[in-house]
Amino acid sequence: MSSNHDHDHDDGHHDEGSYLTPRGTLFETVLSWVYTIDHKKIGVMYLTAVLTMFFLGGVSALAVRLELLEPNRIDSVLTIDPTTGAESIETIEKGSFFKSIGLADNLAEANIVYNRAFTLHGAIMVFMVIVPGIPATLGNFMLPLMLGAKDVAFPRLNLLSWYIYVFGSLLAILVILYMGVETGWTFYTPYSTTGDISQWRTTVMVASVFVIGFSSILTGLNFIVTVHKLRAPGMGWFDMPLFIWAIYATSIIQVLATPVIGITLLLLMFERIFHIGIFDPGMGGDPVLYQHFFWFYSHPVVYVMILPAFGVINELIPVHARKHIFGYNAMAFASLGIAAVSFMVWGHHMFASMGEIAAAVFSALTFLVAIPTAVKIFNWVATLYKGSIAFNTPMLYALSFIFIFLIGGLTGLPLATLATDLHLHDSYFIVAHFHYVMMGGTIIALTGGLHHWWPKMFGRMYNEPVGLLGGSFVFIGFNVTFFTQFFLGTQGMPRRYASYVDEFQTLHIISTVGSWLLLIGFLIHLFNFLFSLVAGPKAPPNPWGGLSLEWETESPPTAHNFHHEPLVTHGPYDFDRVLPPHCDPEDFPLPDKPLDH
Amino acid sequence: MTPQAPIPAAIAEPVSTLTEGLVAFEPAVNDAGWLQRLFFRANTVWEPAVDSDFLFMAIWWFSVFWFVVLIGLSIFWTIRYRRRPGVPAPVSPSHNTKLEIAWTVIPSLFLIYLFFAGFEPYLQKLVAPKDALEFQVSGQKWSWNVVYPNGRKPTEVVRIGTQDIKVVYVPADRPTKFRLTSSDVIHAWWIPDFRTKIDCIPNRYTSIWIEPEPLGGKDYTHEEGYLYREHWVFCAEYCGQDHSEMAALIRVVPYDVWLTKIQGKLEGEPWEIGRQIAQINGCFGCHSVDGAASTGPTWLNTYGYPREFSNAPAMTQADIDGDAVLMDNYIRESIYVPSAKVRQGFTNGMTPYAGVLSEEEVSSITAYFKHLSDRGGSFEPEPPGDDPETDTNEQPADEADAQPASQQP
Repeated sequence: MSSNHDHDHDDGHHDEGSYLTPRGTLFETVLSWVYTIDHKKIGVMYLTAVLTMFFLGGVSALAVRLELLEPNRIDSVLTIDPTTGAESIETIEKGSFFKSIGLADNLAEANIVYNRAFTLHGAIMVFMVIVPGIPATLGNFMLPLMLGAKDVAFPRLNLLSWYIYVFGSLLAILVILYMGVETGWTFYTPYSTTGDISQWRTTVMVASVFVIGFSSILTGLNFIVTVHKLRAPGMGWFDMPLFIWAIYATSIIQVLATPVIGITLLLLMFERIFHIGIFDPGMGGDPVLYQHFFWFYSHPVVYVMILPAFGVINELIPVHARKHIFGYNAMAFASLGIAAVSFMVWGHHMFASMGEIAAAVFSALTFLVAIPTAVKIFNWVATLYKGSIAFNTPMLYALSFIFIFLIGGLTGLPLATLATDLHLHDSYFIVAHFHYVMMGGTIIALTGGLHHWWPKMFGRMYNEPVGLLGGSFVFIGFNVTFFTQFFLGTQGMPRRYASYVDEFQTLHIISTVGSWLLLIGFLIHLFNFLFSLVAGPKAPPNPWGGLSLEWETESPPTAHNFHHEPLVTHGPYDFDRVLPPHCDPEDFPLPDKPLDH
Repeated sequence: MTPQAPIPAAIAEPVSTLTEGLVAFEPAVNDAGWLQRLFFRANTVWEPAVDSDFLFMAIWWFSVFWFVVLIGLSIFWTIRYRRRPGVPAPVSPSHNTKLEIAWTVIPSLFLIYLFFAGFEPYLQKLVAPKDALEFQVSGQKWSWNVVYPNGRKPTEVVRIGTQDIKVVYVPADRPTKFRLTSSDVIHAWWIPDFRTKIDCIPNRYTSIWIEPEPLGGKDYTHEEGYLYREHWVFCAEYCGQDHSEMAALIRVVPYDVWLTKIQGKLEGEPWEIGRQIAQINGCFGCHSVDGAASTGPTWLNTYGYPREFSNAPAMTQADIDGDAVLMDNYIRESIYVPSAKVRQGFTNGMTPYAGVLSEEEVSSITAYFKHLSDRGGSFEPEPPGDDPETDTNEQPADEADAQPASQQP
């Protein structure tokens, strides 16, 4: 192998083992992780951090659902003292989960606890789980492997971005817990900047979002340069796996959009320190301007969340269906098209607070996003045609993704349509819609991708039936939880309500029960993974018969990824003409006569 | 308690008679299919709402079609082409330009239709006719301040959940325009039954309008003999602690009844009027009058008692004894500028009521403060069971009355 790296000093001394092989004492092993510049170790560290955040965000989501099991009510009860016969009226506050477990003394406090809980849930899930979720974990681990590179272009920058992510996340959580952030993850002014409750909280919160965003910028920059400069010999742009295309488009958005949250932070600080009225109507500012700034960042970020998920599905379906992906070029350009349009649709978050002309323009632009997204779904379904489809956990997740994301996409239509949006805006319909695209999109794809690449990452197989069982619970639980919320929204339930009128309770109960099924599903996956790490059967280098470069090295990969620099002679999806490496040809037979592509 | 003022002949002229309404009017609710009723519960025949519901159902069926086709094919092919050991995947093309162009262009045409079809009802929902009655609405943490076209305010509340919410009377069969603003943070005025909402933004007016259909058919009969119908109003833009309690109830009544309802005058002793004003304006959402802990300080035994503040010098007994109007000034200031003196142990989350409560109304509330204090001069301990928080001037007979009439079977 070529030896132009500075950290391959033990090359050739002995069997180098995998990147997971402990080196020296326990202390030295810990140090080797803390100081590592290996993209695989950083990927695993990101995975650990992101899954920890997912657990925290999940717990607060379960708490939110429990509080919504019953509406808050005050009952007046007439009690008669049996000995004296004296009558007295007692008021009983009921219906609050937070009050019943002692987190709040009365219903007013319970509302505040609820508001903090959903803020914690939203901020963690969006900024700390879904945004970095796929690019920083699977992307970090797989991108250099799929390109045939030894590492990303700037390995030290990669480690720095992990530390920045951890620092920013801890800062944000501390701010939410200790400064009482209960503004929702969108921090709308003037609610977030006025009132006596710690006026600095929004500024610090936006600062920590910017810090986390900065780690995304660095990761994105790293990936863009890696894709441009470190592709293996023989790999042209259109020979790259589509996962790389998706990560590439995502990185562009991250680098371009994240600075806007920095500008917003600067303006918030000017307002707070110099009392220049920018967003605060009390000083002559315009609170809606804040929404424009916020969504000019956060809307492109919605596509940062979903594009990598598309990329994962682009790998899962061809590999497990043994079919060339349908419409490769359309898929690649759809990713770039979505990235481009994503910068022009932020206004659709403000249909209820902007003028008619602006609303019309943003409505039209929003419909544009639907087109490349629809093309992608058609292509995935067409890929299944005449495949050789293995029904395993990654495939279950790929199908779940199509099912759920299709519902998420189609329910975007009445939200882009102005007349219907005026009713559905800020209702549970939108809550259901963005959970279908964000959780049903990104988290489902992440879980599916984790099963797909688990053998490669850790060198152990997971238990297939247990994986299918967990995946089924997640699929059913997800739909029970969130499909009901579409009906809550059309019937008139506003979002971010700690309590509600009686007629909504039945649907809320169903939704809460669904959240328990989701919990069971994820716990099954967790135990499956932990068991696999401890006692799972050893994974072969290429268990699924994949053709992209990560399957050419062993599982788990060596510290330097490949023993020889790989040479690319075939496309990543040529399943009908190339025998997969390290595989028994009996397991993955080729057709007699391949078609000309 | 609302006085039945005689209707001036000139205004009373266009009154719709109840019998006419009953015979002539057949609500559109009956035309909606079960699915549409599952989605929306109540249906109005207000044209923009009917149009947008039609559009919603059109999108629904379009979505169902594509969903069934795509998911059906996915499941069918997954089973049909399941993996068999030793059998390779059949050979098939990996792209087809004509097909790809077709499935890009055809759905795009529907999207273009949706855009135009969605724009017109949207404008209809926002642009009120010129002859619409104008209601002024101001959102405030956490209640709605409504002013009728004649300059008077609602005088009735109903208890929903944990809060008293305002009853806003709206005439049937006439366009009503709400001109909205906010006195603190952004709120949103959502009337789900009319499928419309708009944000209420400080320092700016926004507006929407509705036109309730004539009363008749399944509508309720009030014990005073007129027909009425009710619709929820919810705050849809997150605004903090009691966001979920920030509702109002629109009660649609015949125009002649509406004319009497908007005359609303409060009656009783000065302190009773003060109590009603406090209740209508949502004061009891945060302040108790029986000494119980709440978001803000209790009003019981406040007047005439020394107080300590976190941001101002304490008000001592000597101060109070030496200044006959010190307490009155303190109460007035706390209503108009709540942040000036913040009680020890509380944070100020209260919205200033300057511009909401008039000097006369503050004066009545001050009378109520005196009534609530044994140092106020008019203190009378309330008899047990007379909880002023639930004692409204026109309390509905039971819980069922508090539900919007249109949403009952």
